[in-house]
Amino acid sequence: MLFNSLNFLLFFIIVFSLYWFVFGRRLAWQNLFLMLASYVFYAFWDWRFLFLLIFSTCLDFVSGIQIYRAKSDKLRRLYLVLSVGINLGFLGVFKYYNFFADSLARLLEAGGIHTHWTLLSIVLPVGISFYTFHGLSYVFDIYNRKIEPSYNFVNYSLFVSFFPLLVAGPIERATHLLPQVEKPRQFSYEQACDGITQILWGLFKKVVIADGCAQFANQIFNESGQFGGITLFAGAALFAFQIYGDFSGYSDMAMGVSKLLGFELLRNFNYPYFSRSIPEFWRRWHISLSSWFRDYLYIPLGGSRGGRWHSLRNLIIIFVVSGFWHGANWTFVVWGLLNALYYIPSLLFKSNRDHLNTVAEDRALPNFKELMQMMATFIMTVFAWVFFRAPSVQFAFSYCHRILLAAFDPNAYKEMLTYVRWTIGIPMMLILFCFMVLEWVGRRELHPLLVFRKHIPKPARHALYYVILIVVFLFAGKQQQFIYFQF
Amino acid sequence: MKRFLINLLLSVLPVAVFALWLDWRVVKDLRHSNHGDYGVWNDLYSGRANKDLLIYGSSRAWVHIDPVVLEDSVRMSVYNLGVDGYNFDMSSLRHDIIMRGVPPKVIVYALDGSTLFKRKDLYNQAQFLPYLDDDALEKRISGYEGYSAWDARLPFVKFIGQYRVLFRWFNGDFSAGVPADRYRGFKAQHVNWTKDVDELIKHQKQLTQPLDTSSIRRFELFLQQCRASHIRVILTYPPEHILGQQFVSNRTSIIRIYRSLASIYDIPFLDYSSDTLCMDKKYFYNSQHLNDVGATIYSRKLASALKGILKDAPQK
Repeated sequence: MLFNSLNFLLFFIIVFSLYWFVFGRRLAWQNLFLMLASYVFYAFWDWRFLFLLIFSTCLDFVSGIQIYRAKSDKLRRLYLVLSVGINLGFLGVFKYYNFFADSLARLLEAGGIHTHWTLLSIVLPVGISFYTFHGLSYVFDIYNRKIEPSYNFVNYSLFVSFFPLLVAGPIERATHLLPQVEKPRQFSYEQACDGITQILWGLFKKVVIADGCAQFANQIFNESGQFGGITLFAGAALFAFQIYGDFSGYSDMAMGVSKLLGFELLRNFNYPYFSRSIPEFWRRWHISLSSWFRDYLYIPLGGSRGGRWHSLRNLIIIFVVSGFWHGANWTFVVWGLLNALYYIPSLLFKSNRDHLNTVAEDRALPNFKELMQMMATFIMTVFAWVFFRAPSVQFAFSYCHRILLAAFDPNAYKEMLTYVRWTIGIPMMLILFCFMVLEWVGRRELHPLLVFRKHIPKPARHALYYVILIVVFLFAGKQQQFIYFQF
Repeated sequence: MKRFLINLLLSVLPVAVFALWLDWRVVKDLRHSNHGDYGVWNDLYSGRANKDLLIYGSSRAWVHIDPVVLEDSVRMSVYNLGVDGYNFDMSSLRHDIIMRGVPPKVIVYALDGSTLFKRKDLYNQAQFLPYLDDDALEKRISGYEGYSAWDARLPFVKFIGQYRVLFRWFNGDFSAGVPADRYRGFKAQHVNWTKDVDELIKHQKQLTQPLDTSSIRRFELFLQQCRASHIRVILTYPPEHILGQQFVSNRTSIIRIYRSLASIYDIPFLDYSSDTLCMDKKYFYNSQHLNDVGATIYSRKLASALKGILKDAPQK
């Protein structure tokens, strides 16, 4: 059940009505109903994996209590290791078994040893990486004595399985979401209106930007042999917009839906393509995952304490693990490594904490230096996205190589312009341009439509909403799966 | 909450009213359009396609067989019901609609390598928009990927994502006054073979066309029903360029199946799969499709053969 489907609309209308009008008076009923609704939502994907979700929830619920109650540190650690081990074990089997089996077999084969590993035809349970990380953050926080465990299974289960964030995040923290689950919620008109506009913006990003760019990015990547180097770069840039529109659009819709139910989720994106450096990009892209790795991996490893080499080691570890989190393929590992390489100079020159503010914060337009910095950062991320999108590492290297070879070939630029003019078309380019303008205007807000809610008179604002809605209707083609569902 | 719901309703209401009106208006115009596929579906539903001789098949029927050439020769009214991109499954739907009116006397079925294969996706979905309220059509297309049950049940939902149709409607392309771009379903392609086609063929990989057993069964059933209804069926395999013949590895066995069906049901099979036309690029615009020059020559050859068959052998 995709957020941008009529099935979801119907599901949500029913959930919203029952949630506020039937179960609204008692928090316990409201939470129980939301938990069941979340299970129904998950069962729509594949009901068989519902048992895995429930098992994972039970495991972390019990582990949390046992860790908290354990009398000795040794026992606390044992419960933690048990919980983490089983959680990662599931993730390992479902997501990484074939990858490791295949990689090991190839390695041994290179050494002349022939093996007959059995590759399993495993279906990856949707959202497993997300709900596993929800659960892990909970047990880590209890272990680190940041929170006390929840003794109410329904509340805890709702924290793990809350349907807006169940299959593609944002990765929530128990410290942030659990208190909201446990506290009675009041319907807020302002919050609901904000939720509706954020859903609208998320829909626009997914349906128009992501799905619109996807068809051309897919064509260029799938038939890369037929295109010149600069068109290949355009394909990678389109993929950059596709993945941003897709994932941040999903996050916006998840946040908007949650607001309609009285919840505030963690922010996941903060206009990453207006970053002036790679460290800034990573503070703005998939924030909930970056901060998860920072808090539960980078800092426990020692973070930036312990000298330069120690910091570099930790940085490489979190980027490689982050790449690996995205998928069981060497392409994701190289993508992580490449981002680590991009990041290293900032760490060495201690400029990784630069640009903590919003670009051109007190101005309408960026200055030349900022513009160049943003362009350079964008181009670097586009090259990294090639590895993310490519079917193999060899393919990605050859793709990048062809882009670089064509950099000084005027014909390659001409071919790219022809592709843009006749295949992508002026309307799509115009929409992309308007999208970037709106994002720029709204870069100080949670989402661009908030600027209009705050500063534009009601009729003009509503006219803009209708225009966006019409564009969404017109462009909503064949529904494409959200990219992050596969992670 | 009350304020929120009222405001939401007031915001949604104009959109809903406009969407309802747009749905009604566009469907109405599409049902009166002569344009492209809409023109053919409209002829089909209004009975204008119920002619003496009907041509069934895919695009290899649609762009290959000229009804005018056939009419001159066989002295019967002719309509070309070839449907681009689809196989027997869609032709049989068109046949079912035809059978609601006066049945044809003769059906010429133009075969190709994928006639007895069923495609998965709902190709050119826009052509079905005006007639989703027809149960037979809706039931048939519901088996294809890309179909949504909401399309037929909620107003306007079918137009979500169909911006090209809406833009063209807005542009007046579907107005009743716009002349038809096909004549009785047929449209000759005034296109030549280019280097791009050679390039495409160079990169094309050989494939084995999977046969759909249910399509074969239904094709046989169709032949039996036609016989019971005293409709003469004639099979033909239009020319395909020699360069395109190598890509379907099981092409010979597919043609053998057609021959065997023709033999079992005692129906003529006019096989042009190895005709001299197949050797010359000037008659084609790609490996599977004849251009206007090739189509005229093939239509004449077919007409002449049909004339002989229809004159010599009386209806069984």
